[in-house]
Amino acid sequence: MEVEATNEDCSWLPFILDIIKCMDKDSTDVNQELTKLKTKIQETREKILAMPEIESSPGEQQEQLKTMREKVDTKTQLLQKYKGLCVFDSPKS
Amino acid sequence: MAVTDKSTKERLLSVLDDLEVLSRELIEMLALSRSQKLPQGGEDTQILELLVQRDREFQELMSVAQDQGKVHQEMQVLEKEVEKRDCDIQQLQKQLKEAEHILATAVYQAKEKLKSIDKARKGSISSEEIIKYAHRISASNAVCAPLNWVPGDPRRPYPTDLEMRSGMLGHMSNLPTNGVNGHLPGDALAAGRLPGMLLCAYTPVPLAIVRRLSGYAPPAPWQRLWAGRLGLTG
Repeated sequence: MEVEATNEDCSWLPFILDIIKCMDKDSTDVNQELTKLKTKIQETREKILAMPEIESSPGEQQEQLKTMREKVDTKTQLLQKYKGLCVFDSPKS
Repeated sequence: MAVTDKSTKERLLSVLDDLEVLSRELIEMLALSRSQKLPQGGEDTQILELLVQRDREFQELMSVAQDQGKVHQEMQVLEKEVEKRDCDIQQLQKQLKEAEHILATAVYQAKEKLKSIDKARKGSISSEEIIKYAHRISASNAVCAPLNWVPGDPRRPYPTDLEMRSGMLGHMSNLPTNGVNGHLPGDALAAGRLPGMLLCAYTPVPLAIVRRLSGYAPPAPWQRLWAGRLGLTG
């Protein structure tokens, strides 16, 4: 799952602020806002669990990327070497 | 150090749990203070500060997760490249195996040919010797009857028993060598006891076959048959 949220979308403070405002106004929407916050937290938790790209730390991921790049380079060089290699001088008839 | 070893997922979940707990505590505290109308002891400020701090951490971690997502996409592209190269390498390996098999067969056949050439060189015979031997075989009337051969002539295109026994091997074995008409006693030909029909039927066959095999064809028509068969001589 791609991480598409921006920094502003990731903040939880607006939700908490809404709840406090409702509490100040003694509004009946407090429970609704609380439920909304709870649901939002659960959804975020499930999204985080479903993301495969954050299974490792950034450092580990960079190491994996470096290893993979080296692997691709090595295999590319090997293929170029053997495809371009002419062991026999084929006589032109 | 322990924090950096943790994966981004673990850290995000941990911060999210903290956020949930802190937000619940703050709301409960605010609700309690409003209902009991008691002054807040500054704990709500501390909780609020912690909440803000955790929220900031969560945002930073989400930014890190976003970057990791881009890196992950690049890694997926590289994985596909690796798979493609692996396929090419396997294809090359297959071609190499085929070439090795073909070359091995060719090398084996070439070696066998070289062995045959070497063997032929070791056993080579000069052409002069072969021609001399051919002359010797031809000179003994083995391929063609002599022109003056008539029935009753003891000569044969092969060594007769008597001639064999007269040789070195026969003498060494002390075999009897007394013969009649060039043949051993008891031989129907020697005694001339064969009926005429059988005689004519018997004697011409070997030489006719030999003549045919050797490709000899006398010029005159009457000479193409045995002289004895037609009662002709010469």
